[in-house]
Amino acid sequence: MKGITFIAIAALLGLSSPKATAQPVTVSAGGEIPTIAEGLKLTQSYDTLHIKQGTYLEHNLVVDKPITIIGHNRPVIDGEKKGFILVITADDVTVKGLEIRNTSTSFMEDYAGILIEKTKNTLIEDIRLIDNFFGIYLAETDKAVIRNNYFSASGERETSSGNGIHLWYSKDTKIENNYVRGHRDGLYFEFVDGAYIRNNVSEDNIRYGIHFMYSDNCSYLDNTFRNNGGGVAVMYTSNVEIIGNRFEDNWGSSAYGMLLKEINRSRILDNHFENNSVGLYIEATSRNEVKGNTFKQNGWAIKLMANSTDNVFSENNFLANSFEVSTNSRRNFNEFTGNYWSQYEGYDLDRDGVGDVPHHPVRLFTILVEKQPQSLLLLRSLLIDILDAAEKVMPALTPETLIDIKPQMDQLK
Amino acid sequence: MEFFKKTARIMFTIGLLFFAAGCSQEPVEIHYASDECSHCKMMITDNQFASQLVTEKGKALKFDAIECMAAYHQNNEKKEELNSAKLWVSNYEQPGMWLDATEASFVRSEVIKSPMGASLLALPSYEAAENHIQDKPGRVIAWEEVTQIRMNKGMGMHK
Repeated sequence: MKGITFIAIAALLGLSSPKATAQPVTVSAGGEIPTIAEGLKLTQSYDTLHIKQGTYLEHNLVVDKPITIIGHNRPVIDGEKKGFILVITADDVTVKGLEIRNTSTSFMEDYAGILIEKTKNTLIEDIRLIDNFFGIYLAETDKAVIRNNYFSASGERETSSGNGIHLWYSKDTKIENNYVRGHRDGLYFEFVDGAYIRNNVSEDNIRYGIHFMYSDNCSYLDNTFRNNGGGVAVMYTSNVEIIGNRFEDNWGSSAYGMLLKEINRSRILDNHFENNSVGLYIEATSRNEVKGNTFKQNGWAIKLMANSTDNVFSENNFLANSFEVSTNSRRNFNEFTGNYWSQYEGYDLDRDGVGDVPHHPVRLFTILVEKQPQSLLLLRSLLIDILDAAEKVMPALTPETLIDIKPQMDQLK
Repeated sequence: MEFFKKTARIMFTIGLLFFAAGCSQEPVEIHYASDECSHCKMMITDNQFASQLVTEKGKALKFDAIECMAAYHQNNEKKEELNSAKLWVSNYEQPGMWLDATEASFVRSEVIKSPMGASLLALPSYEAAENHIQDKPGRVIAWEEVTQIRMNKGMGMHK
């Protein structure tokens, strides 16, 4: 109590106490400081606010000075759907070990469990964000770190659900080891630069597991995007590194393992695309390297639209896909080389591990389905097999240059 | 024989109905979280911004945002079917209600996060739009100006 009085007096006198003598403040449900709002008032800059176990019915808590907030035994802050819960507006704020639930939902305001606005060096770690409209919303932040958090929302209606981790005009953000489910987009990036996104799992979201727009120089590695309504979308962006991710179980008329639209100078390496309607959809996308990926049991492994140029597809595995590559034109400005194709029927007489005849991944039937989707009914019919065989011998309708002249005899890796 | 005539007449009437329905340029239902945008290929999820273009023959093209419909319209102006197409936009304040784009008023406002980043919303009248910007930043524009917005990195109004 003495400590508190001292701090209160110091605060009143406007003394900026040096770090060494500052006192941490402790909030506990039945204690001297029963509310977090009060605790925030009493905590001085560069000091720590401890929150004891319990449920605190509070909202619109503004953190406007550089402090550390630590929850012990995971106290719960319940916003009772009355607004934002935690709003961080100062630099150098750290928040750990809380559960944050029940923001407002609204179609006019982007209510968030944690709103971080115009700050530097924010660290959010080990927080459970349950049933919030937006989970964590970063606007115009610099060097924020979002780590080891758990996000879950009921995500029943697309319009009543915000995004799990939402970044807008943020620079150099690190997003690692988070789990997100049941939001609109699991992770969302708009006008973001230099984000580093690693080891996150984003599943069962209404729209996209991760959604990028106009966000250059980002990299996302070793993430898993599973069973999201539309899969993953990366749009209008240059210089992205997409390495070692898994894109799984994205089924539906508008679902893609990954949708690339207007992506340039990017690297798509060592990813795994399994069980998607379309593994990789590529439109108006140029000068990218697609290497070492595995496409397994997708409807279409790759849909490559004709307005994409100078992309190189090498050393990928194509395993048991209904269609290996589909395109909408007879012309091709991309290169396929040294991939393994499970539909390859050639031979290797000189035993150098490379097939002696080129592989045509685009079948006649693929072109037919592209023009007349209903003809999919004929998949695996004898007629189609005969047509495909004839087309292989004398290509007439499929793009002549869309071939792999070095088809591998054995699966790579 | 009488029976056949009757049947034929009924069939004819049903046929006419279908014909009429097929040719109306009324907005069609959008299946949110399943339909995809005809311009940007994104899944349509937001009934505050969804738009659609219905051709004379009743074919509907669906979009996730007003800016996508505008961009599609620009890119395909030469296509004959678009000349007489009707353009529909969602009423921002009453999601699910359709407005004729040429009669609606639009607000461009940096605080609005429309799906493709052009910060555009549609309202039924100039008064409603003026009301909207009473307490929020933004300016009122008409459809003609919306069609001039280009889809690129400069779409965001910020900075």
